[in-house]
Amino acid sequence: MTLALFSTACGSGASVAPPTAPLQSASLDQLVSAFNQRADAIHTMSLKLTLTATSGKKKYPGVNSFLLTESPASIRIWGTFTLVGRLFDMASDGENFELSLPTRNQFIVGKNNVIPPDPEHPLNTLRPQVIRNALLINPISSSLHVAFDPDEDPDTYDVLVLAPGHNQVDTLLRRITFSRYDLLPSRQVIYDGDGIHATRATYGQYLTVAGIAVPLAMTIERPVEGYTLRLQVNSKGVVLNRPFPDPNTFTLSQPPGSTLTRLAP
Amino acid sequence: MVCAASGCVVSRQRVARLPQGQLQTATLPQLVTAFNYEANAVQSMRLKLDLAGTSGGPRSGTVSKLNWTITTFLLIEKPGRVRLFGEVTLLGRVFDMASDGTEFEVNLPESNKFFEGSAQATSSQSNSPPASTVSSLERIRPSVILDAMLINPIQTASGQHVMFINDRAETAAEYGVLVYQPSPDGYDRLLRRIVFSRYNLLPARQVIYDTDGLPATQATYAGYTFVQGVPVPTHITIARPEEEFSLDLKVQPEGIVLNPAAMPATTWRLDPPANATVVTLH
Repeated sequence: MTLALFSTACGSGASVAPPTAPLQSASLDQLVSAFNQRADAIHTMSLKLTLTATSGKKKYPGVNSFLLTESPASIRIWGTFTLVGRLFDMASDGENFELSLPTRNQFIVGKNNVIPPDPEHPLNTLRPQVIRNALLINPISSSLHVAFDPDEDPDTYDVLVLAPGHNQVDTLLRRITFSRYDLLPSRQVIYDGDGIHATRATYGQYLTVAGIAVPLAMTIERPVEGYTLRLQVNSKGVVLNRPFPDPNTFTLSQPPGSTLTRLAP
Repeated sequence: MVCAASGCVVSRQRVARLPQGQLQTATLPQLVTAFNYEANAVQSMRLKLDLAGTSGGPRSGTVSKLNWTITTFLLIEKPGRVRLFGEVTLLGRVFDMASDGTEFEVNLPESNKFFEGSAQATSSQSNSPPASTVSSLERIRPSVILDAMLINPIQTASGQHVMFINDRAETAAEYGVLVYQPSPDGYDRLLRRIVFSRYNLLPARQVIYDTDGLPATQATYAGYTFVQGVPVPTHITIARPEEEFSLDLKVQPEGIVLNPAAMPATTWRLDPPANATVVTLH
């Protein structure tokens, strides 16, 4: 009698229905291999997109932008506004960056990994490498380890990317969430050295270009700095693996008359 | 009661208080060292507790809740010995389960059933009764309770690795620690996820993964009391999502005995009662 109370037969009867949608399956090896194959297949990329920024409760109007990347680490992104012209232009070789703000007549140079806090103006902390690292074009190095994290919902696979450390104390670098409906990345979290979320990115509206799946809708959130970027790529504005003829595509020169600011160190 | 008597429309319900105090900081090695020290400090334990639970879920189609709590005694002796039995007033012993670390037995006098098998056998195995037709008590294995009791150290000497994970599952007031077994090919397997509260740097939650890397046990820990200098949680919940049951263990603080004198070997084995239906699980 007592045990019957613990059995399903005498339950209070809350009905639970299992999900019915078809899901695809993949092994960890298959997911990582496919991710790296897509990332390695993109040597150069040119995107025409609308860039929208939000910092705190302030939402900035969308800016027509162009984004160029070249392996292994270069990026250039600039935005124009009707009647105003070029609003910003930033470039990076992976380590250093330059930012030109023509409307303010400012030219800023510094290191990508040096981000002084600026809570009043979060977008001042934006570095081009943050965007590049979120673009799903950095493969998972063979020197790193990967593991499934099964804590998430059944519609996704979560893959952790780990960097071996010393004394069996390792570091979490990335969490890549794959949708089980198409086995493509739907989210990515990039961690800082303390395991804190540095970048949270989402991906959707995939378009296949030259056999490579490219997300047209991306969000890049920087929770610590306090801003979010939304990238809506024009479906006709995706060009892959076309070399850039200008050898200076990924470097900016200081415009004459602009004020130069070097961010320490 | 007061409300009922006075006719007022506001009822009061006791809710969990937010933790008091400052957030503490610790490095990953500090957390692991403290966890292992406390786990290694307990070689055996006896607990008196009130057991409640629920069973069911999507597979069973229903969710049932145990309406009574069962006064339960839990005995543990490392490395793998465990005994758990529960009694209800007037009914006497309603379940009894034991394991010597190799085999397990579960005796359910009310249903006249007796289960025995490998200590690692789970109710989701193919020769077990379907989950929808058995009670929660038939699904519980002593080793599940043992593994959730925070007395198994992180085996860094055996090659286990750890790393911080401060993710969706953790709040700013918590440290998440992943324990995993590296593989030479780089495809690793998670073993445990231990979430420490930063108010006391003690485990607040633990997920134990099975050999397929799936979450087998999800446990929570609260209401720590110190016995012989060792923190012991007095409120433990243990959920087994695959087997669709969860247990709620409220440990009676005066019923905690750590490292008692060794118990006889017969403590860890049960014989089937006469006329009981014996189910052997391989």
